[in-house]
Parts: sequence; structure tokens; C-alpha cells
Amino acid sequence: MLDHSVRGKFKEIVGEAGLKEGREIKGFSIDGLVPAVVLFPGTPEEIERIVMLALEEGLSIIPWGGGTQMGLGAPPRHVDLVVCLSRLDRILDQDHENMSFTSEAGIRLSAIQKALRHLGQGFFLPLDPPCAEEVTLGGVVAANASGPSRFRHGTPRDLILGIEVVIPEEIETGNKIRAGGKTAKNVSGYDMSKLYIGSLGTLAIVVEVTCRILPMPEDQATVMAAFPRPEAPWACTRALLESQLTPCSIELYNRETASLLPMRVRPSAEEVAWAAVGLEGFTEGVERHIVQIERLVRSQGAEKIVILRGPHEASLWKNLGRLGLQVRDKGARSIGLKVSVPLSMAQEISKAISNQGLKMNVPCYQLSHAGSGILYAHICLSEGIYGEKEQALSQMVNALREQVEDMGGSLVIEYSPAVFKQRVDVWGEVGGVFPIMERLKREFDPKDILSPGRYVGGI
Amino acid sequence: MKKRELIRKMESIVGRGNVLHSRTALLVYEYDGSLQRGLPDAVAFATSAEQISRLVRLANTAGIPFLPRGSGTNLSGGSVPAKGGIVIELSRMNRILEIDLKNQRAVAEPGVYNLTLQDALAPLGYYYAPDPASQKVATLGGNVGENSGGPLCLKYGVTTNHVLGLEVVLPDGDVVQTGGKAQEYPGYDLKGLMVGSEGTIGIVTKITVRIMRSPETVKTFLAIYDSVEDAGQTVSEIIAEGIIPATLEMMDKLVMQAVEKSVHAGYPLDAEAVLIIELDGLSDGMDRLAQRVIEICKKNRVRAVKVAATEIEREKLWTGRKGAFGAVGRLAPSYMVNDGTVPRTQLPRVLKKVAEIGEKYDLPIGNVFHAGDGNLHPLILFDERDKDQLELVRKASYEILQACVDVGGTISGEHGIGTEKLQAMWLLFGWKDLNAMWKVKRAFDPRNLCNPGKVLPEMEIEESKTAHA
Repeated sequence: MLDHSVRGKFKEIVGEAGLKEGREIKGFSIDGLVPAVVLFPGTPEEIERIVMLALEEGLSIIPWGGGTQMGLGAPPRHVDLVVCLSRLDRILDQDHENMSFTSEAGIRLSAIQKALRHLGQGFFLPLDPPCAEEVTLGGVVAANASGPSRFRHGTPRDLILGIEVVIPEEIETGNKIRAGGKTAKNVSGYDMSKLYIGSLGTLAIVVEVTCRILPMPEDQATVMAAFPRPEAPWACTRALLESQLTPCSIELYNRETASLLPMRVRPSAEEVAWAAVGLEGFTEGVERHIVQIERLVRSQGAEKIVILRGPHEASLWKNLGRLGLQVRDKGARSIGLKVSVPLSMAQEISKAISNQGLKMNVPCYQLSHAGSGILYAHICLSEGIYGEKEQALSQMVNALREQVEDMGGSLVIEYSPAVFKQRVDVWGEVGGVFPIMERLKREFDPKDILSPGRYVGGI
Repeated sequence: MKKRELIRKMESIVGRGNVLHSRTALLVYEYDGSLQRGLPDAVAFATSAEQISRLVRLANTAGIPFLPRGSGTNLSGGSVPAKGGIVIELSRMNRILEIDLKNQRAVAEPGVYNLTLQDALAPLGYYYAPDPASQKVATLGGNVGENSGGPLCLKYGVTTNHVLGLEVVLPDGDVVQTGGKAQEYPGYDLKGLMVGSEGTIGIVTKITVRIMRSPETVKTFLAIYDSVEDAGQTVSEIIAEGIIPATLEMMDKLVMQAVEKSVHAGYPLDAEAVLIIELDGLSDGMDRLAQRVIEICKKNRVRAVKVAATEIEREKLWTGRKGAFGAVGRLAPSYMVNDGTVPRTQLPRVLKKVAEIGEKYDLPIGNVFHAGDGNLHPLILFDERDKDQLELVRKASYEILQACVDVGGTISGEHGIGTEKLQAMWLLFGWKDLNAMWKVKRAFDPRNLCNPGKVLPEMEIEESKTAHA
């Protein structure tokens, strides 16, 4: 609980309406921990003052964007304040002729895309993380979130040109600092943006972001194909990677995942694996891709091949992006895993996950960014099933992690029941670099007030 | 530790013939591609991470600085021993360890030349995107240290976008791995911090990079202009149209004249500027794209657009472009290369400003640069032996950087800060911003022995907290 006078001081900063508590903040819990208050600052300066006051009072802060990634990370050691950035949603600079865009961190990605569509001949921010409707730019940065199009366009680490953050240091003139800028190339000093991207609110609160934007492609389409053998889409992926074709994304998914997609034609009994290849570029190029990819998937036994455009295409990608949410709706105690392995090993891991799912008799919804070696496995679990299989599930995740690490990759638990996080380290070992990470944390947050305990190794 | 003892210990690590310490031998290591100078105490040729680790521990024990060095082609003083100490020479760690097509990765030691890797990949139908002009001799380790760019970076990004994993000797001598062949690893992005850190937070001993399939078609044009502004305006309009060529390079008259004298690439000597525009990708749609680019050129009064008809013609154009810095040596005994970068829309304005600064100080300035990225390289020609002139050059250079910052740009796009631009960092950052970078430096190198005196200007930490905003 917050001392009455301290609460008053926060109200002085954010105003009466900017502080919420009690029943109003029911949705703001992290792994079951509820903050004393949720603050809604309206400017970066208010965040600076909040952080200064929190330092003075020794209160911990968890920054909050769209809230979609709050399952990520270990349970925090404590939560006094949640600082929600939703009011920091101003667009500050739209320089499409320079292909750059700057806004405050609390803006929703969907709002950015909407603004960019009407700029010049039409632009977009090439980031398509899960739940792209709800996520905020700051949240994407903090979680280093990305989606299918990372295959062509990269991740936040490739697309962010400049950043402003508030650090938990008592500096009389304010603790907001900046790095990078709006030029395409920049080596003036250390590349600090990289440090904040993916740091999950443990070093700083991101308040402003400048990113690279791209012109809308002239044409786009998706080739979707269903296969009778689980190996087939992987063979297609290999062939695509070896070719000179330039698809935008290569997504593979299993029968369970397909069953959740609102497709007009239900999967038939023979179909066990799917591929969706996203294409964008010149009309001639997209056409050529379609012809060649159709030929390729057919040679691997695909019978149902659909070319999606317009709303049908958008609906497929939107639903793939909401897979985790859908699974969690079906099973309140579900577990989400994200695996990253060298490209050639993704198939083996996908198979291992399927086998484990079958063996344990739990539905496992798989989705892979196959061209990037990234796999998501959403294990759907109800309260009862989770309780029954908790131990076996933790053994399964540990065994998978061991296999993944032997391949030179990593496995992260993206969400799970809080109790599961006590059994299995959500991040895994980071190795010999850990002492450096600890020292970075100490340099930036010596009083350990930012998201304490959520990050690797208890940082 | 006495110097003699230090040398003996270094010799016991790398072998007797692999340590240099005579004054004449050390003179070769006091400079890089910039005008910065600094003499080391000794140079050790290392061949393994283990040796480097032991050398670093030795330097720690002796309390003296150490720094890595590749070919020394860097352009801001990054590999110059600003505070003496041990130069750890990496040119003998020059093996490509693995080309892993299945995973689209290559693993190499830091002393491998950028072009050596390209040459190994090309017959397999693959390439590594960062292509600095100095690639014939610039090493991959140096590319990582400086976060090198190159013409192709317009479309494909700079070194940091292509480095997936690093083995690093940390400033305390520990050997660690950050990143790897996969794309994501939990924890802070130390690899992202290492790239472009100019060897100040560790020494890279093994590099894993992304390799990509060579494009199906490449089309190269030379657009010839009678005015620099028109060429600059063409660049701005191509980008504003949403066209992203593979490269969009610019060269002005002064530089072309130097290039023609040295390589006879076929550049027009009477033109004021040329653009080298290269498109790549699928052949489908390429002609239509080329047509759009040519139309933009025409709209901006291009004199002629020539297409490189053969691979030999294309090679010649690039040999000329990539040899430009070297060729400029024919025009004057010394040159200072500036690396300011601006938002692309500001290009015509800043080019004009650069010309004005040249006139103001009566210094000839040539331009050859990555126009599509807004990354300028004004080359200020002069004679280093004339100390008065050197002072003017420094002033002119500083003014160019200021002009870049004034329009929302930055002081270095790809050459780094080194020792050369330390003070110019204040043009861009306040005390607080630099203080945050110092936190990174301290986390890696609390004793400030790893390539000290680079990247970050020294500051009085406690006092400044309130003094400078």
C-alpha cells in the first residue's frame, strides 16, 4: 500500500485522473501481483518526475504498453507502481520523404499504420508482431517483438533508428536521454537503442521512438497450401531459401492451428500441415512468385492451394497473429513457448514438439517463421489438465530446451501460469555474458526499481 | 611492470618473433586511415582467442591500455593507440572457419578481409551484404568494430544488421559468446552493443554473419549531371518516390578527375556530378522500375543515363568508385574525409553548404558518397605539413558536421568517432546522453584499459550532473 502523502505527490504529477487504484486496475496484474497504483502520465516530463519520486521513495515500477506481453518474463519480485504509457500517443514527425517516423512510445501500432497509409503514396512500418491491433510501439521495443515479415524486413533491432528513454538516475536536470537519430546510418557513439530493445523495462522506460518506414508495395498476395505430410512444407521452405525468390514471409502451421483459423473451407482429414507464403513487390514479381510457388508446393504434394488477396489475406495474417490469444481463451492455464534455432534445425524441433504433444495428449498449436528459424508452440491447457500434468509439462519444456540449446538455439516461455514459472526458468541460461548483463543493470538501475526480477537470471 | 618484463611476458604468450617493440617497427602502427596519430608501447601478433585473453590479462596486470587492430583502414582514429599500450594485431587470424549454406551463415576470424569472404561466397551464389569501399583490405573484425557500411547498405542495412554472433575477449580477459547462428537469444543485446563500439568494450575473435542468395538480376546505371544540386535532388526524389535501389552513389567532378587518372573507369571528365544507381532483385518488373528511375533523372535535367552493358563495364564503374579515396591522393598530399549523415531530403541543401564552407576557407572539397543513405563524404584536400592549413581543415570539417547536425543529421554514418570526432559528440549529445554511454563502457571495462580515449569524450561525472543539461 502506498502512504497517503506519497499518493498525493503522485497525484500532483499526473493529476487526479492520472492515478488509478483498487477496482479500477483489476486488469493490471503481473503474474498475479497487483500494483498499489497505476499511473497514466501524459508527457515524458511526468515520467521523469514519477521515476525521480519512485527513486526517492524506493518504489518499484513496471512500465506498461498494450499489456499483451506482460506474461513474458519471470514473476517480478515486487510491483508498487505500474506506469501505463497509453496517454503518450502523439505522432511527432512523419518524414516519409526520408522514410522515417517518430512518435511517443504509447501509441498503438495500428494507429501508426493508419497514419502512414495516408502519407504520400502510402507507407507502412514493417513490423507485424502478434496482436498487432493492441500492441504499442514502446511495448514492441521493450519486448523486441516481431512477426512473419521479419523474414524480409527484420526486427525492431533492424528498424529502430533513434530512441528516447527515461533512466532511473537522480539527475537534477531530468533523466530523459536519447540515442540514435533519424538518419539511415549512424555510428555516433554506442548503439544504445540496441541495449534498450528487448530489455523488457529493466533498464529504462522508453518514451519516444524513431523508426524506418517503407512505401506500401505495389502488389501483395499470399499463397496458402495444405499438405498431406508434415515434412512437405519444410522441404518447400528449404527450396525457397535456396532459390532467388524473395518472399516476404514463410509461415508454417499445423492442423491444430489451422482449425482455429476462420477459413471458409475446413481442413480435410488428410491435411496435416500448412504453409502461407507472403509476397509483396511489383505486380510482375508477385505474379512470378505465385506461379513458381504453386509449382513448388504442388511438387511436394499440396492439393489445396489458395491465392489470398485483400480482406481474405488480411484476415489470415491477423488470425495467425492472434493465435496465442485464442489458445489462452480456450485454456486459461495455457503455456506459450518461443524457440529460436539455426534455420536447418527448425523442422526437427517442430517434430519434437508435435511428438511431445501427442505423447502427453495435450493440444499443441504450432506456428513457425520457418525462414527465420523461429517456432511458436502454444500448449492449450485448462485448469484441470494443467494441475494433472504440471510436472510432466515442466519436464517436457526442460527437455526441449536442452535439445534446442544443443542445436545452438534458445527457448523462452512467453507466457504460462505463474506457478509454472517457479518450476521452469522462463529464459534459460545466458552463459558467460551474464556478469556483463548484471553490471549493465547495476549501472542503469542501481536501486533495482525497474521491473525487478522479470529478466534473465533474476535481473 | 618494466617495459622489458612486459615484452618478455608478451613473447611468452605469442612467441618471440611475434612481438614488435623497436621504435622503427612501432612507427608503422601509430596511424590509421585518418589524420590521428599515437605510438604504441608494443605490438603482438595473436593467432587465437586464448592468446588474446592472456595478452589482455597481462595488460590488466601491468595496468596499461590495449587495443585490437585489423588492417588499420579505419577513418577516425579507432585503431590508433591514443594512450599507448599494447596493440593486439589480428591480421593472422584470417581463416574463414565455416560457410554454412544450410543455415545461411558464415563464421570467420576477425582478420579475414571483407572481399576474401565475398570471393569465397560468390561461386556458391551467395554474398555478404556490407561492402565498404576498402573491402579489399578492411577486415571483418574492423567492420564489426566500426559498424561499417558500403554502397549496398542502402537496401540491405549495415554491419550490425548482418552480424548474428560474436566470440569476444572481454576487457578482463574472459572469453564469451554472444549471439550465434540462430536469430534470437534471451538477455540484453550485447552483440548489438559490440558492433560499432570501436574496440572499446572487447576484442572480437570469431564472427558469425548472415549470408544471402545473390540476386537474380543486377542493373547498373551511370547518370551524368551538369550540376551537383540536380544530382542531389534526383537522389531525394528517388527515395521520396519510395524506390529503394540496391545502391545510390554520387561522385563530383573533382573526385571523378582523380579516379580517371588512376583507373580509367570511363567517368565523364566534363560533368559536374554522376550517380551510380544499381537495381537488383527479380528480373520481373525490373525494366519498369528502371524506367521510373530514368524519368526522375530526366526530370532533374540529367545530361545522359548510361547503362553498364557488360559485367566488365559494371566492374570498372565500381573499381572507380571504391578506389576513390585512394585516387584522391593524386590531387593533394593529404585529405580529411568527413562522414556527416543527414535525412535524405536535406541532401541538396547540405551539399550546397559544404561547397560554401570550402570557398570560405579556400579549401578544395571533393564529394564521393552514399547519397541514398544521406551519408556524405566530403574530402577536404590539403597539405598536412602546412600546420596553418591543417587548422583550417579542422575548422571546415567541424563546420560541416555542425551543418549536418543543424538539419537533423549526425556526425558519423559509418566511419566512427574514434579520437577525431570526440569533441563533435557534444554537437549531438548532452551530458546525460553521454553519461549513459559511459555506463555501458564501465559495465564492460571498469578500468578503462580497453582502447581508451575513443568514442566518448572524457567528462567530470559528478560535477556535471547538474552543470550541463
